[in-house]
Order: sequence, then structure tokens, then C-alpha cells
Amino acid sequence: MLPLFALVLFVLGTIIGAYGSVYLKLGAKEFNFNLIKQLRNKNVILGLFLVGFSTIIYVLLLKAERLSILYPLTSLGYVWVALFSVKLLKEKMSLPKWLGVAFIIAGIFLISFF
Amino acid sequence: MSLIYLSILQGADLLVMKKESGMSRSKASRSRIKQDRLSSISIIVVCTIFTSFGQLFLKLGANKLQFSLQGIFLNLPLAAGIIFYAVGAVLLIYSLKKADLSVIYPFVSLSFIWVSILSYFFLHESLSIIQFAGMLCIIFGVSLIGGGR
Repeated sequence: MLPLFALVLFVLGTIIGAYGSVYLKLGAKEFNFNLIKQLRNKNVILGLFLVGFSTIIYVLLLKAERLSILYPLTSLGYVWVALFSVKLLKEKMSLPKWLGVAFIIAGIFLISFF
Repeated sequence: MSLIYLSILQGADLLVMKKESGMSRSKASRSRIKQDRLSSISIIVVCTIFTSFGQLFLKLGANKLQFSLQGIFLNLPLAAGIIFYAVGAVLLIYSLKKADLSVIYPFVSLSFIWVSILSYFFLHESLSIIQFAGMLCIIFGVSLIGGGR
């Protein structure tokens, strides 16, 4: 099992990354390949910053934990993204998708506690 | 890391949807769609292999990570990991150009399998049976989220 500190850091990292995804989605509406103009697209910049920050946390945790454990656990991010898309972006989730969320949570539980 | 993927997917999903609405669904185009789908799936399989090697290099880079400017910028495995990852991301976008997200996405979770194989052979890590079951659970869940309607 992961040490508690690492687990908390990991969960925080995936939440930060999921927020990054939400901001990237908000910024995607105004996205085009005029990259200089995109520097003023606050949502994209903030999203990239947050995703980058979560990646740094991930690499730091990789230093301490096995890859074969940590990599599947990153799918926790999908769970946050699903919740945030419903809450913040008002997207609709179907029953199979919620089932997918449940399977991911079950898998994460199996990997991190056994 | 996989979050970057997800955000790319969200963007690409919009692009694909835009394209599809303008497409007429005649019989001739239907067989072409089938062919496109097959090539997209082979691209996505290559993409997951790139991402998985990216993960392997990231881990190797993280192992020798030092907290100094040179330690970070002269860390070759770390740089290789980022490059492999970027190639994987480009391949993913490319494969999404021609096939639906719901077709492509279940194949993305192949990378979980590659990573566990790679970390068994190159990092001498091993999963317990319960952890392996957990991984299969996650693969199924990710396929449901990405592949469902």
C-alpha cells in the first residue's frame, strides 16, 4: 500500500490535472492554431499550467513508487473529470459511463490497498 | 499524464463531431468509414506503445531525478519520456481525425497492459493477482467511459 502522504499528494495531483482539463475544454472553444493569439487565451494557459503541475507531481511520485502501480492509478483523473464535467460544464453522463466510473474506483481500490 | 490525453480527446471530439455533421452517409462512404476505422485502430495501437515507452522513460528519469537545473535539463530518460509521450499524443489526434472517439477510446487503455509488461521486463516490478484484477477493472471502466454513449 502507498504511504498516506503519497496517496494524498497523488489524489491532489489528479484533482489539479482534472481542473486543468476543464479549463482546456473551456479554452478549446476559442482555440485555433494562431499560437501567438492563444497566449491571451486565459483558459488554455491556465489549463496547460494545471496539467503541467499535475505532471510534475506525477514524476515526483514516480521517484518513490513502482510504475506498474502508479500508472493505472492515474485513471482516477477520469473520475474527477467525469464529476467536474457534470458539475461545472453541465455535460450529461449516461448510465454506462457512471458504471465505468464505478469500475475505475473499484480497480484503484484493488491496486492501492492490496 | 493521462489527463493531457483526456483534454486532447475533448478537443478532438468537437472536431470529429463538426466533420461528421457535414458528411453524407451514402453506401460508398460507409465502406470507406470502415477502412478508415481499421487504419485508425492500427495507429492507436502504435500510439499506446509510444505512450507506454514514454512512461517507462519517465520512470527511469524520475529514478535519477536531482533537484538542480542541470539535474533536470540533462536528464536524458526524462526528456526521452516527454518526447515519446508527445509523439503518442500526436498519433492519438491523428487517429481521431478519421474515426469516432467511442471506437478509439477503448484501445487507449491498451497502454495499461503495455506498461505492466514493460515494467515487468525492464524495471523488474511485478503485480499481485489482486492488483492485476484491479488493472483489468480499470481497463473495463475506461473503455466504458470513453466507448459508451
